[in-house]
Amino acid sequence: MAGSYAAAVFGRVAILFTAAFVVLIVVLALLGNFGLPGAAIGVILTGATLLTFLVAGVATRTMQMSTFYLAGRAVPPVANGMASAAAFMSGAVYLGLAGLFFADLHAAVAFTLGWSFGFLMLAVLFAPYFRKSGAQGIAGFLAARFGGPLVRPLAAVIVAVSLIAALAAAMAIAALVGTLLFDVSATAAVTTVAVLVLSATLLGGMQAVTVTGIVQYIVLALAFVLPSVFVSAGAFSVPIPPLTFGYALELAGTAANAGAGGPTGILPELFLPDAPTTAFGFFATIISLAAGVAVLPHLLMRSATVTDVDSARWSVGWSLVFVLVIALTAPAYAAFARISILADLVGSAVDALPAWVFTFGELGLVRICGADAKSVLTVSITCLETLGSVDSLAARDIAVSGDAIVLAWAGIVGLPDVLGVLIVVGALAAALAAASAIAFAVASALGHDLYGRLIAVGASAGRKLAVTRLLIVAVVVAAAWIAAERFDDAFALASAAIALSAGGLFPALLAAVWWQRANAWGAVAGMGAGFVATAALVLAHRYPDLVPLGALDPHRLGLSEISSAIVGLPVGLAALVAVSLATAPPTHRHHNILDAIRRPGGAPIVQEGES
Amino acid sequence: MADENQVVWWRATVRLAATVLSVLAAVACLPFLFADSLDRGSLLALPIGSFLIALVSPIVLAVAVFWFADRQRALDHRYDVIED
Repeated sequence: MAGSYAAAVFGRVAILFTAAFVVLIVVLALLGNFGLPGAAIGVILTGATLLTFLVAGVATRTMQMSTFYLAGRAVPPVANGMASAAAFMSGAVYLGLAGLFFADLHAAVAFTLGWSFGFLMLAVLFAPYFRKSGAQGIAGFLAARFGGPLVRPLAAVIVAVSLIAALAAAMAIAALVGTLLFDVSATAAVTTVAVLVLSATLLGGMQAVTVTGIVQYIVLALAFVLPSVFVSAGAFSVPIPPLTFGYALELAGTAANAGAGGPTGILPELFLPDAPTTAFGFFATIISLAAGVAVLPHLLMRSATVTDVDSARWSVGWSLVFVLVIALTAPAYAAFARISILADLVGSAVDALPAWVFTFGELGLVRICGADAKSVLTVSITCLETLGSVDSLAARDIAVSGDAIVLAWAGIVGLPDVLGVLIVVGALAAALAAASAIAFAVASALGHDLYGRLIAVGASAGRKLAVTRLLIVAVVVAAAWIAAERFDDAFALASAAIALSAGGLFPALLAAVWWQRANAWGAVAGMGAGFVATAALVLAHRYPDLVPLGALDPHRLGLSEISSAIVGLPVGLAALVAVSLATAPPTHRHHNILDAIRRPGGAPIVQEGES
Repeated sequence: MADENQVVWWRATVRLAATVLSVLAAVACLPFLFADSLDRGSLLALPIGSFLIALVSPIVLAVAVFWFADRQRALDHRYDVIED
């Protein structure tokens, strides 16, 4: 059977790579012990990892449509789960989630819970039916179910617009991490990242995204889990960080109360900037994230790569398990960082501060006495002005951004060089995995659904493939430009990707499978209204002068970019229901199509990306 | 005949989906309702409420995905709507 053969190949590759990567880490750790400088360890570890990504991307090159668009429909559930988790994790989650927990445990829980429920909805409501339809992307799925001229282009545009900022942000994070690892310019870093993203998409399409995604997941999971296991075992004798972080928080609580002054200050986050601040905001965040994860285009389209409908459900289970490996370790990063910061910084003299304070102070991520901690001199001057002393800092004089928690973690808790580099390489892997998956989703929506189905209907398969490849280049170059030039906007709008997907796509996808009476007009109205309502709230939040909502100020309601779908979802659903009921019911032909989508057996209704 | 079978199977599928989603939404949110009384105790040095929502709820949801996949597989086999 093709499926079990593929499973054996994927399994062998994954196990061999994991073993090789662990051996490399151990060897580098030993060499580091014998005096190999940290810079050399960084070059070797990063170089070897990036080279593997490059080789994985190039080795999976293909000229076959079904391999390029669907990875040959032969990806086993566990492998698909890994690739999905890597694509979902992204640099922002890898670097930002621990920061959220650092700032506020309860607010951060909204993210883990929202994601988990989103994966459950993906498995129950969408993934198996999407797989059965035979569609390659969301636009194709909705077009097959509803018909009509507008469904496909509207869905394709929503996919592309929702995701482009997230792509730019993922590339910006990868580039930022690159400049931290090596002494390169921002432009050189962005260019390198663009080349790596292209290598994982351009030649092998979905097949390359899948294989590099699996390798990237292994790198990022080991990179995130190993260092925290090390600290957890060292400090609490139990090598399972989720079980020990409570004790670390308890210690930190005691330390903060015993020391002079309140808890350590918190600076705003860039990577995941949207921690909810009110009870309403908390639930809005959970609902918005859950609906967004369930329909996130680059996740849902991974369901097209598994062998059958049943595998589509199991694969989502594995995706969630692999996401939780990271998400449940993140609070430990926050807790261990907190005790170390309280132990090492509180009561310390300014000239005895550890080096990471200044490395990340330079980036504006650490403030001492109210000013960026750029050097001992600047800190001494500000502390003399405000405190009149440089001999003993209180907790309230220290503020650390959540963005720095994972990046600076090795320095904060005092880990060997190799683990410090490893954590940062993991962030690179996460950001590259997300960037590749999103770039492919956007380009295939534009190439397959807009060009192939609207502009050049009669074009040959080879020509459509060539156009999709050109579009991958165009999308990656555009995102690289945004990443280099409009860094701040990219981050602010990236966290809206999930909300825009939820508001724009969730109502139509829900009705596509679960409500027979829904028709094409309803779907178009639902997508349009849901997307516009969500986008209005996102823009009002980011650019209040551009979209004045006055009394409806989302800030005052405790809403953020990420929870904006709380408005778009009901608006979209209401529009979909109202317009569907006001127009003619779907025809008998459409009922047959819906029956075929629902039933696991029988032929697929479309054969997208296979010819 | 086959259509009749599919109608019954689809009803059972809808019931399973509705049950899984509503029960799990309730279970995942329960700790919030009882947060005050739960947080008086502690487990692994975390207040029990925080422990439940931060660690237990996500794991329960992950287990639920596999449980659902297993139930739906059984349903598909019972009504013989499986793939060839």
